[in-house]
Amino acid sequence: MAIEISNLNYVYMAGSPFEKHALQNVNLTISDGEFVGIIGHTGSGKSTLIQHLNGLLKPTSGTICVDGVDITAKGADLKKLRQKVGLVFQYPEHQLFEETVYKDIAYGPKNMGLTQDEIDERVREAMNYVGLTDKYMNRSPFELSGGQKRRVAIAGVLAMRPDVLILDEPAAGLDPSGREEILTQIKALYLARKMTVLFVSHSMEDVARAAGRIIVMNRGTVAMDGKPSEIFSHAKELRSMGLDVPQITQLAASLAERGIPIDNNIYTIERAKATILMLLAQKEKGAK
Amino acid sequence: MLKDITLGQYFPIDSPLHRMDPRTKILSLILLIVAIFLANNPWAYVLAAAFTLLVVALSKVPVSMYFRGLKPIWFVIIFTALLNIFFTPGTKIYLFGYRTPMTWEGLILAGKMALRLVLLIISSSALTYTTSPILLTDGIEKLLKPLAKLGLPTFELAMMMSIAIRFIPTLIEETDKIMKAQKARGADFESGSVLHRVKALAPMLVPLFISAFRRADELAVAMESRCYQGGEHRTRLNEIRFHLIDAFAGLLMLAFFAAVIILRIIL
Ligand SMILES: Nc1ncnc2c1ncn2[C@@H]1O[C@H](COP(=O)(O)OP(=O)(O)OP(=O)(O)O)[C@@H](O)[C@H]1O
Ligand SMILES: [Mg+2]
Repeated sequence: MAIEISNLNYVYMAGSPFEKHALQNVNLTISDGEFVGIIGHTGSGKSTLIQHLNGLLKPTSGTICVDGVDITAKGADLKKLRQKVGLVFQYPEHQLFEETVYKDIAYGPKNMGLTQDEIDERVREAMNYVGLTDKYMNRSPFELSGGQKRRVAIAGVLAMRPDVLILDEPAAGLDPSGREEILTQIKALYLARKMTVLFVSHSMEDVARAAGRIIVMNRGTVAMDGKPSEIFSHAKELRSMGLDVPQITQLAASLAERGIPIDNNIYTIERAKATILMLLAQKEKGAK
Repeated sequence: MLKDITLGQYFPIDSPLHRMDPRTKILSLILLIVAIFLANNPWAYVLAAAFTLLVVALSKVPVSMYFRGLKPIWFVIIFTALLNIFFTPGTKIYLFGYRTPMTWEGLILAGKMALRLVLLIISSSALTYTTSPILLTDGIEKLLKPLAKLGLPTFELAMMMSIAIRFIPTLIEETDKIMKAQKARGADFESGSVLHRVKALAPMLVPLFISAFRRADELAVAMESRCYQGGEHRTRLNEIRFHLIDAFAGLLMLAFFAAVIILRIIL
């Protein structure tokens, strides 16, 4: 499921004084099976961009091809597209509406016109993916905690078995352990289902840990696009866009400045720990 | 569709209409609406249309914005026009062999009603485009002041109104977001039978109500925690005042109103 975006422009409220050129000339290719992190300051156009990918927004100009099919063409089958490209919105728990968790997750598959058995299978599978046990099935989604609600909402999209999963700030507003769990589950899901994942976040730490490729948005344009190590070597540019490199990368940079021979592409705590321990061991050996 | 709802939307530019006192504009709008309904002959209609166009021109708001405001009600306008054309008794015109005949009277009535509706929407939009919600409710409150003596809670009414107006765009935005989220899960709000479409609304309305209640709750808490207290001793940062331009506008308005009355009497 490759996605090709060419010369995409989008203007909100064209022709009014509130007109806003939210996307300017965006060109991107996302290949099958990639895990892409999208970051950018508030209002940089991240949400606008991803809403184009399942046809919720129509480009002001430009084209988008998903799996070789131009989805901006007239008469494109949007319903089918939305099954293939699952989109989880920012604060998805605000869209829950059914009496029970089970029914809410079943809403997507039901709209696809599946049989009862298939729906049941998919609901159970999706709940399993997000770590909700069977005892939640008949609870009302409104009496769950924020983090649990969010999982129900994510399961609601997963139950459609999309090939591409797009998540807009899936960890926003959760406590550190909630963030951690959601991110770990998304990563596990990515490995298990071999889907393409696009993941919007404000947090460099989260993106650094999960993504194999990072796209940096700035004022409606793609400012940088590359591997995490490439992106984080441009700390100054990132800062000028109101972003920053992960704290652990900053630490590594300060260590390097003091003459410690540390790698310059450290962006996760695990990696930093391993490297520092290795350096310490070398030092000890040298002392002996 | 949702983006077409422009009522209650303020258009922040500078124009003679923007500078007028909200009270003048509210009273003028009421007079204009009464005049539109009193008009009963072609000249009065021409006059009312011309006056409305003058208001549109003075507001400096692009004409396209007014058209956008009309969009959601085109259907109503055309529907009532069709009803009028075919169901008004009078001189029959058989055209294209229709079973139910059109009538001249119906045609004229349809035209009148359509014109009235359009003028009504345009003139009300002119008020909301040129007056910020805060000024609007300030104006309404001041105008209702005399009724406070009769025990009407004018301040509270005005507050409720400004909150309601304030939240129209928020609710529209929220609706838009929820609709998109449900569409992403395969919801279909646009096709199918009427029953199907009504049923399809539940996934949208339930979250919308929940969020509206949540917002109301949050707003109440926020107001209370800032010691909000309405009523008598509250003062304002910007007092509204009448200026020379209001006198001009008032005179023009009265002249127009008088003209419509005179046309009604003499013709
Ligand atoms: N419905 C809308 N109507 C008008 N303007 C909008 C709308 N949605 C977004 N915008 C504007 O478009 C720009 C991009 O918004 P977008 O929501 O894509 O940003 P974002 O990168 O997702 O930001 P955040 O990190 O805050 O979610 C912003 O300047 C925003 O004000
Ligand atoms: Mg966003």
